[in-house]
Amino acid sequence: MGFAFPTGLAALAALAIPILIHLSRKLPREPVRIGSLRHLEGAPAPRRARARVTERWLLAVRLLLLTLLALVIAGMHVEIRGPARAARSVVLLSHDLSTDSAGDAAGAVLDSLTGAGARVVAAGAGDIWSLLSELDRELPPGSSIAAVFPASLPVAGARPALRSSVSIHLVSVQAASGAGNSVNVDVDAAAGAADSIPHRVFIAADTAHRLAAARLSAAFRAVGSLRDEPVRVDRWPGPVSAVAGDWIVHFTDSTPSPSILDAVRGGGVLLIAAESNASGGAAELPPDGIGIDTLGQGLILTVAGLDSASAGAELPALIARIWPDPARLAPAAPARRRVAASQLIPARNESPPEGPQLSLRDVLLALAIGCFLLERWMAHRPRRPAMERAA
Amino acid sequence: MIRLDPATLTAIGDLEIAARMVVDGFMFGGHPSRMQGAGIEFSQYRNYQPGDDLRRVDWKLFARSDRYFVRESEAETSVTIRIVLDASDSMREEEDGVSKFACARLLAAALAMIAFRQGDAVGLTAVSQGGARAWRADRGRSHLNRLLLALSAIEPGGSWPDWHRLEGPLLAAPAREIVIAITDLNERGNEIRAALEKLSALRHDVRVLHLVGRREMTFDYDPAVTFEELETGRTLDVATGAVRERYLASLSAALRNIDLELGEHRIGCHRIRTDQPLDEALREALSARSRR
Repeated sequence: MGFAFPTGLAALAALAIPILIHLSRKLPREPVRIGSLRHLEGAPAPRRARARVTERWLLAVRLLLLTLLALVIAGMHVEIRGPARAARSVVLLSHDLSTDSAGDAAGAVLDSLTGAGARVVAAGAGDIWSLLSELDRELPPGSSIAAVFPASLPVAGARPALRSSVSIHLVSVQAASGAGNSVNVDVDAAAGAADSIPHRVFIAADTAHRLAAARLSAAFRAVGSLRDEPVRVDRWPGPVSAVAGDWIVHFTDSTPSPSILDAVRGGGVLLIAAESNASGGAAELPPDGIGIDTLGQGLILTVAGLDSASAGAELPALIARIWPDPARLAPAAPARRRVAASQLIPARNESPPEGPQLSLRDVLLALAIGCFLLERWMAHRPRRPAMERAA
Repeated sequence: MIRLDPATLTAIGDLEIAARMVVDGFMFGGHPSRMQGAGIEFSQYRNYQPGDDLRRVDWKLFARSDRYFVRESEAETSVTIRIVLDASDSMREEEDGVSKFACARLLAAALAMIAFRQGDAVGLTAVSQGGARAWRADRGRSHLNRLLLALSAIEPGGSWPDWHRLEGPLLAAPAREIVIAITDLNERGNEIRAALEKLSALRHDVRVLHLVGRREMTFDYDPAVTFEELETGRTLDVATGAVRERYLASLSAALRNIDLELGEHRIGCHRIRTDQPLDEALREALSARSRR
């Protein structure tokens, strides 16, 4: 039970008003008329100093009415706490980590947390503070929350004060060379692994584009050599399992095969020459000559000049702009910064937020109205003692 | 069955109807009078006592037994009844909306109606305002109506007067009467008892119906009460809890004293509570009288 406006309880001082009225309007005692006083001669008189309140029931109703009004003013409410709700351990898994590609990397963290019986809750959209606050309100007091979020999660607003104990587990999400985007718990270990995994480039070209395909293959290798990043260029082998980060160069006049599109949906990057029939022409390309479309979790890059013989000398520069991370061509994303876990620890030992509350305003108002009607009836009823005495 | 308590009867408003209800209730399962005295029909012999009328001595029995016996017969049923109604201020004492006077008026009307039904002469003397007013004893429906009208018009007030102011109205009848006094016996000295004793000394058959209230007998009042004496207007603040036992003891002693004193003068006294059904009260009172 609590009050939204505790200062409103000062209205309880109004209780003194009816008390004073009932004391001050004390009616004179009506004498009892009897035939003779002879048996009462010498009887002790009652003490006059004793204050006597008249019409006590009416006074009680008036006091109750004022008390109810004071509670309405103070905004009385009760917190709903189910008696059967026990403290629980919950793992809050960020939506960014719940994808298939990231889930493998976060698996170690989840395994260690869920091994103790914690329940995994997938977080919805929103910043980390609002997600934690929302989950904290749903949990009984004393629960613990283990939050698993990417280290680059945007953080905004002030840290909330929570009732549950919260531990933050940050997971770094980095693009590993040769293996596409991967999620690694240990940043140093991920860097070491990236050196040994080459980037993969598949080229699907028909005979008409064999020369262009050879130039493009050489350009990939050149850029990889310059950047000291291993790269392996192969012919498109046909249907393969989707691997995030793989590049597929489509050098035919036909549309990409379903197996290529599936690989793109799985996170691959499809590179299409703007001059080919498959792209539908270069008329709608942006001024820089590179068009970007998304397909599933992958990208489709439509690049002008990829298929022309005059562009052979410029191919390495073009490839260097877009490979291995085509995301740099996308419009500038909001700045993402790494955060330290210490920054994410919610404030503890602060005034806990209120739990789910049930306002008693309507109930109190209904009772007050009932008391008011009862008070009016008692004050004007035909056989009121005061009226009888006055008569 | 309707409970004929005074509150119900006074609510009727019509004194004759209320009195008739009381009398009907009284006569239900009634019994003949067993009063004994001078009369025609023989009842029994008893030993002669000095002062007995010599005409009632059975001389033939004296001749046979050489002892004096007096013949007793069923008393004449045609007797004269005088109702003495105390209409002093103290009779205005009320409990539960019923005053002692209203109760006394109903009793007087009921007694007059009983007398009328039995063919007895009935008279009325109302004592109020420091004096008394008498209606002569007579029989008949018209006389009963006159008495009922007079009873309806009487308003209590004043106090019970001294004997010299009552002597004329009370002793107007030359013959012996059955005097039934309906009173609360609240007196400044002993003026009521003195008057009744004088009537008894004059060989009237005197009977007192003493009206008391329920709260008067139990002293069931609020903790702090201001009492006002009706005849004098004097007030007294009383802590009832502190004086209750003393009051009850004083009242009990006073009632016992009244009974003894009236009994010494051959005056029967029957106590009637104002919340008691009047037919039942009358039956008890008159049956107690017949047992004397």
